[in-house]
Amino acid sequence: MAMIRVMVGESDHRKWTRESSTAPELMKHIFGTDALPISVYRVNAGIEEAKAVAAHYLTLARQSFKSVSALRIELQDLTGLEIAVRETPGDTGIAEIDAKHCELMGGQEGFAGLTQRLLVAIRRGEDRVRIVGEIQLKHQVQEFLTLSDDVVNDRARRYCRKLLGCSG
Amino acid sequence: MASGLLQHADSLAREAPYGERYWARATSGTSAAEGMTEGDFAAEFRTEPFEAIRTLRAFVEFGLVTAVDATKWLFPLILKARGNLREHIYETLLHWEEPDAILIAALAEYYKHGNEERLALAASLLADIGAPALPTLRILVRSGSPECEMFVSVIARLRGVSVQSRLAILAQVPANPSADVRYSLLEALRAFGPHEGIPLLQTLSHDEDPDIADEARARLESLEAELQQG
Repeated sequence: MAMIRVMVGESDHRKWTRESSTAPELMKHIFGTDALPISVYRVNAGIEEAKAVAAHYLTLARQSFKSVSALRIELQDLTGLEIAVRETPGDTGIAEIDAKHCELMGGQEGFAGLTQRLLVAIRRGEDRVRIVGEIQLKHQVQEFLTLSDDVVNDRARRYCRKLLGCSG
Repeated sequence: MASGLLQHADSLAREAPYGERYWARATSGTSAAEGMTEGDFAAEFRTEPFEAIRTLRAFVEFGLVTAVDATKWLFPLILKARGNLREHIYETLLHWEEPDAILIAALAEYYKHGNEERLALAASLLADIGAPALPTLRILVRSGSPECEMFVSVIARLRGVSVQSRLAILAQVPANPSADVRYSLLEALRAFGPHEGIPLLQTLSHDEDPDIADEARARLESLEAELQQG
C-alpha cells in the first residue's frame, strides 16, 4: 500500500521521465512551495487507486474527463525528511475514499527532498506513476452514482452528474 | 457580520495609507465605512468565511467593490477551502464571471506558490463560464506560456463557441515552445470530428518531440483508415 498524490495535468506523467525535468520544477508544480497540506490517499495499487483518483478529480469541478496520473509515495520515501503524515478525513464526498485520506505536512525543504527521491526512484525504473485514463475515470464516476446516499454526499453527486453530462 | 466588517473598515480607513485602500466607483456620498480592502475581507474570511463571502457579494452588488477585485481577492482562497466552502467560492466566482481576473489571479498564485491545482480550478471556472472566456483564452494561447497546458482542452470543448473559432485558437498551440502544451493538443483534438482535427494532427506529425510526432502520425493513420471505411 502506498500513498498517492493525484497529478491533474494530462502530461504530468511525462514530466517525471523527461531528462530535462528538475526536482525543484517538479516540486513546485506538483506540491507547491507554500507549505499547504498536501492531500494524499493511502490505497492499494489497482482499482482502489483508480477510485481515489476519480474521487479526487471530483474536487476540481471539471466538466470533462481527461487522462490524469497519480504519484505513488512509499512511507520510506519520507524517512529522515521533515514531512509528517496526518490522517484527516478527505472531502471528495465519497466516504470510502475520504476515510483513506491523509495530509503531508512539511516545508519546502522536506518536499524538495521527497521530490528528489521520487525522481531518482522513477529514473531507476521503479513503478511510481499510475496513469488513469478517461474511460477508467468515467467508469468510477458512474459507479459512484450507483452508491447509496450515506456513502456519496450530494456535492459529490452534483460533480459526478456535471462530468457525465458533458461526456455524453 | 457585515456590520462588523464595516466598523472594521472604518478603523482601517483611519490607519491605512490612501494608496493601500480600494475605492471602487466611490461617489461624493461614499464614506470610509463603504470601502473595503482585501485585508478587511481576508480578516473576516478567516473567522467567518461564508459570511465574508456574503458581505463581499453585497459590496459588489452595490458597486462598492468591483467584481474584478473581488475575484482577485477570493480566487487565492479556493485551494485551501474544502467541501462546501470550496463549492461556494467556486459558485461565487462563476457568478461574477470575470475570466481575465480569474486567470490573472490563478497565474499570479501559481508563479508565486506553484501547485497545478490552482490552474486546474481556474481552467474549470473558465470552462463553466463558456464563450465569454474565449478572449481570455485566446490571449493566453498567444502568450505561448507553458501554463497553457491546463487550458488547451478547455478551448477545445468551450461551450457556445463554433468549431472554427476553437480550432483557430488551437492552431497556435503547435508553435508553443513547451512540449507538454503541444502534447495536450493531441488529447484535446479528440473533442472534434475526424475531418476537423486532421490539419492540426498533420502539423503535430512534424513536431520536434518524437513522442508527439509519432502519436500524431498514428492517430492520422487510424483516422484515415476510419474515413476510408466510412
